Amino acid sequence: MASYLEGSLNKEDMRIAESFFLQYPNLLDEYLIELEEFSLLPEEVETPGKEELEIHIVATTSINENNFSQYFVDDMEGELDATAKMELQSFLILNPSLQKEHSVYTSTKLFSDTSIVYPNKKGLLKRSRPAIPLFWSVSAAASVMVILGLYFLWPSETSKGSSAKLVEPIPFTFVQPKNPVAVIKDEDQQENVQLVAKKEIIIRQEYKKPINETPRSIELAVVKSENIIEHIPVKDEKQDLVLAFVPEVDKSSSLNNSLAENTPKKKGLLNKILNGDKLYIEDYVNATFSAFKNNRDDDDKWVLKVDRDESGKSKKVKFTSPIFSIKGKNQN
Amino acid sequence: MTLEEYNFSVKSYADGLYRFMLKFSDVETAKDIVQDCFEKLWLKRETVDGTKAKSYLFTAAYNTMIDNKRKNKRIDFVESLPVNSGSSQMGNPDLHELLHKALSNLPEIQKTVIVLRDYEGYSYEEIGEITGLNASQVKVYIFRARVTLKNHIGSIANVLG
Repeated sequence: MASYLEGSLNKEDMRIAESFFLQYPNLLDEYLIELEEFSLLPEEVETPGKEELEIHIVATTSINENNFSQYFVDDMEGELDATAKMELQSFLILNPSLQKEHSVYTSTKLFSDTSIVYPNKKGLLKRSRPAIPLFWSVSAAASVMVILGLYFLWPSETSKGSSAKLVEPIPFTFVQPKNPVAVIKDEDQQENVQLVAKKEIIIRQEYKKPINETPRSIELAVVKSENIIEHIPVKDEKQDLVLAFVPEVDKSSSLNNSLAENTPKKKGLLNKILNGDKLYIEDYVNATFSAFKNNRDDDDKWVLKVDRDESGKSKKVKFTSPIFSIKGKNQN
Repeated sequence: MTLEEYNFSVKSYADGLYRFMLKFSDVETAKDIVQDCFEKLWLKRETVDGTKAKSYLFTAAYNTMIDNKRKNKRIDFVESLPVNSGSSQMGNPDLHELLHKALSNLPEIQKTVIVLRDYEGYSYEEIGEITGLNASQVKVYIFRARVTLKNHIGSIANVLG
């Protein structure tokens, strides 16, 4: 019966129910009377304070329900000028229900945790090179020169000269020639080959070191000067190849004479450094140099390499510099 | 830019740059980016004005971060960062955590502008220089970020009563 009254029956059942209630109408009336007694009727009760829950935004001149959020954000961002800020205050007074939202916006500001620091800050710092005043620079350079001068001029065992002393190395300094060698000349002289390079080369400070058993490099320093590089055979029991420098004695003399005159009597001693100083290779018997050539692409070191055979005799020598190289081979 | 200005930049901006990068990368990556940025600054010291060093550093860091994103196709916000690692109302741990999570859910550009704004106090124009946006765009992104953060912490606060 309830389904019939609610209309939830299908058509067939509905048709059967209708025919039944037409046949027994009093049953339907009795059911309706009972149903009415148990039905809940809607009460006319209103929620107290319902109006207070409703939000009615009262607009001000510029702030309304469509843009108040932007004003809230601008306020916390500090982007409002004094006038706008006063208007916002008025708006909040007129709309107290939005004050909480306004305060929540304020809470969205992030704060950096300053306890977190970059751990390797020192590694990022750069140091300045100590600035040396010109006076001190000049003074330091002068001091070095004085010390060097005393070192080389002071009489020593080495200056007294014996070939055994030659094994002691003498420090030298490299200086890149400002004007590269442009002309290199080799000349055969006497019995031995002499290599002569007339160029603007100076050896400022020398490193005299015998080359003993094994091939090795010897680095030389040169600066601008008129200088002669020559190969001077010096008979020596050890047959060592030694580099040394000869102070120029007589610039006017011929090459041969100069060679003869300037052969150091005290091997390996560098008395002083002058333009025209000579580099000679001693104890390099029966050697010849096959080529001079410009070699400007080389590094800034002069290198002398000597290859020796099993008996210790030199077979080949290569003397290179940024400006030229000398290649030699044993005549034997 | 002088040596002194460079070293001043290291002392003044390295920490902030590091904290900024921590919002977008893990600790090691953040360290690397900071180091790279200062190396770039040093190499460019002849052309970078000392007064613009901070902007240069943050721009370089931001660009590096974007490059990394393009390489990796994504940027992971490091959820594993300790709670006190940077973004918060330091006096309110609950709100701090809420903001931290809300910040991690922001779109990257919104996160970038709001971190630059709040951490470093950059103006809209300065943020625009760093990110390649104009000031109006920065303002819009910041507004959207604020609204998102407000909604997040506001709704949670309502639930928590």
